[in-house]
Amino acid sequence: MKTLFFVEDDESLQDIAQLVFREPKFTVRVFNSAEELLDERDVPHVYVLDKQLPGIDGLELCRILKSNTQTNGIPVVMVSADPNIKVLAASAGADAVLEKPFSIHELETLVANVRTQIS
Amino acid sequence: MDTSDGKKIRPGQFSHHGEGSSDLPESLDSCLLDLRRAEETIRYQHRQLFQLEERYNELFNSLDEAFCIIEILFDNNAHPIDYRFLKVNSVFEEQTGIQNPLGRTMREIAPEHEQQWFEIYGRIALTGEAERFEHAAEALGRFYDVYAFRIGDPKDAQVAVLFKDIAERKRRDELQAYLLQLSDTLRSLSDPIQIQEAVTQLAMHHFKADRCYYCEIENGKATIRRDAFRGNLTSVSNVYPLDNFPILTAAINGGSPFVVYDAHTTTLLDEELRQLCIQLQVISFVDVPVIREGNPCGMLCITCCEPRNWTEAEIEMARETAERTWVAVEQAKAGEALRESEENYRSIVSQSIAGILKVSLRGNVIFANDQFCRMLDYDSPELLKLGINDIVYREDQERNMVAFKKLASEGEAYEIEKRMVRKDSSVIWVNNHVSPIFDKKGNVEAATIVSIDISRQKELERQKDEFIGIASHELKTPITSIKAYGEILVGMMDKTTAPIIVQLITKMNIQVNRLVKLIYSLLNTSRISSGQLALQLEPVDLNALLEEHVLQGQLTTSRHHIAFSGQKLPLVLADIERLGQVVDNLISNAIKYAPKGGDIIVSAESRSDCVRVSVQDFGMGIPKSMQEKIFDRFYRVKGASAEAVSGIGLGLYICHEIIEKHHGKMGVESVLDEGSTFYFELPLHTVR
Repeated sequence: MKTLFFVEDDESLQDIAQLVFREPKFTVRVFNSAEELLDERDVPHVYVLDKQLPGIDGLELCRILKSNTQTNGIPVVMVSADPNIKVLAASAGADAVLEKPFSIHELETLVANVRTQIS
Repeated sequence: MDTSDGKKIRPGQFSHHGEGSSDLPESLDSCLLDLRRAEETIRYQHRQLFQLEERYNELFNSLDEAFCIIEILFDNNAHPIDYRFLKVNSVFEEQTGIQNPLGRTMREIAPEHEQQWFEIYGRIALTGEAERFEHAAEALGRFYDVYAFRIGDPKDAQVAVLFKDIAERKRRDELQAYLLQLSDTLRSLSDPIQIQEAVTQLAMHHFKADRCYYCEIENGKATIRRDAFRGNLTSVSNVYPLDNFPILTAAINGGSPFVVYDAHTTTLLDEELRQLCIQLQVISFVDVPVIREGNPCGMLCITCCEPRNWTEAEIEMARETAERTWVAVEQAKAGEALRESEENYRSIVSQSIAGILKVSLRGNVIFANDQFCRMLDYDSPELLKLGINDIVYREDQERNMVAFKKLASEGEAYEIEKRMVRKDSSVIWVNNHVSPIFDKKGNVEAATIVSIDISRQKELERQKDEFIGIASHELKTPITSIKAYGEILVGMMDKTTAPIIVQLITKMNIQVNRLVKLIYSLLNTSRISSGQLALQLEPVDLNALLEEHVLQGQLTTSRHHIAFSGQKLPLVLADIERLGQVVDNLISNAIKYAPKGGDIIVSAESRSDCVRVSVQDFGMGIPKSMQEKIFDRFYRVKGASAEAVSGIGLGLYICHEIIEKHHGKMGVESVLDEGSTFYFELPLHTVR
């Protein structure tokens, strides 16, 4: 079973992520903040990060992940309400980007694709 | 010399009797000869004398001046009291009006003759010193220029007088002096009332009248502000309706002076007016109207308490005075009006809460009112040294120059919002209304600007945009959730799900999508205003983009048929997503504004320097007056169908901004009730 780490502080989106990516597709773990994630030793098959986070923001987190040898091979999908997210995410090293509000289908497709790309 | 017996002998010769009686026949001959010679001489001398006298008379009478010889008569105290005329020439009568003067004395002829005459002539007779003088002779109604000298035996007290009546010249001189004084007086005064006061005084004295007044005639009323009057007379200054004086009014309207010699006897007045005149002691008068464009606008009146025969010259002078007075009064009034108006404008400009300034065509500040100086925190002398580009914010200078140059060449006023830089380099937003000032030839020579500080409004706008931005940003996350829930629900529906639930969920999703679009619009507007919209440009073949969005658009309507015909297009640099939004918006507008359905034609053509994309509908069209405004924020065309005009009108504004950011142009062509074609042009992507 593949794991997906979803870093998002909004409860309902956490909820939705669980619903969308639930088994048999993924095992989903939800983190409330970048700090919480960084405390975690385990690594997933894919990260999905919201840009807007309390504390360190998603972009910074992405950079950290990408510069860490342990995690830099793992695909990162950035999610944001910021329409400029495409540019920002690219410069932070993200592998895919999705602008809120998006459809579930879009998210599912993107995650599936990005996995394929990386692997 | 005659002898006692009548014979003429040569002087020096004497007769003696007795001696040399034998000489008698010879001496008789020589006597006769002498006699004859003597006769001839005497005759000759008579002739000479006669000729001389004739010549003398000729001269006497050929003088164009009057000439006379008078004998001075003295009283017991050797005081000259009279003179008698001994001889006069032919011009004498004309110059004095005295007929048959010879033998008569001056006192007889004119008892009122001035004493000085007798004094002067007496003096000449006594001293023998000739005199040249000028003197009035009122009794004769003359004024003489005189040269007099003693003639003959001093004890005869005879004086020769050469004289000329210069009354006419004197009168002319007096008139000139009067007119000069009038001119000087009028020139030095600028208050209409002072002018009337001065003129009436001057005229009264010159004409030796008892009263003089000037009327301003306007709107059927005669206004007398000041009048000059003598002694115990009363002022008549007041406002008089002309209707009360029909006779006078009729005369005035005729345009000629109304002259009355004697109010008691004249036929020109009716009883009522006569009594009034007598009551006011206006016995003789001259009323001179001033006519302009056929209407009386002023009148000068000169009156006397006694009957008087006004002369032509006096009436003419009165007319001249009236004319000059009117002109001076009008000038003074105009001057006053001008001063008042200037004062008015000056106070409006200086107290204005708007900044007002004037700039030359070259952009130099020629004038700035206090408010404008305050706006930029300069004092006036500092500001006058500056030009436009010293006070306009650098980024706005080009745009500003373009507008200003257009005004200079076409003379059309315009409004512009821009930033200006204060003395301390801080920036304010202003709304300027710029109007041209023309020279006499109709060319623009300067510009007046009314400038209002809108920094506060701009700040409010910015805050509003910021708020909209934050709010819509915040809305996105919950919307994402709702949308996601909606989609999950859809995913959970199957054949067993109750139709009502399917319906409700479907409808809910539609609304959620609308909400998403709305939030996008709001957010984009605020982003555009704050300049945050960043485009991701890449070379794009528009055909693919247009085809895709046409298909999507077609899915949203069954009443319309959207056609797209593509042709080979060069690449343009574009943000695919944003441009897609523009195309979506144009297509959905076409659908909205042709609610009855019909064709929508989407096309793209390649032009020399751009690619032009058009979306054409055959719906309600847009009135010409609104075509400029539809790209404004929040502007909506009023259409017949309520459904057709839902939406908050952000779409076209955002599209316009997006196209502008692509360095393109966007516009519309439309005819009411026939349809509209929205188009945008994008510059070609040139590969460097």
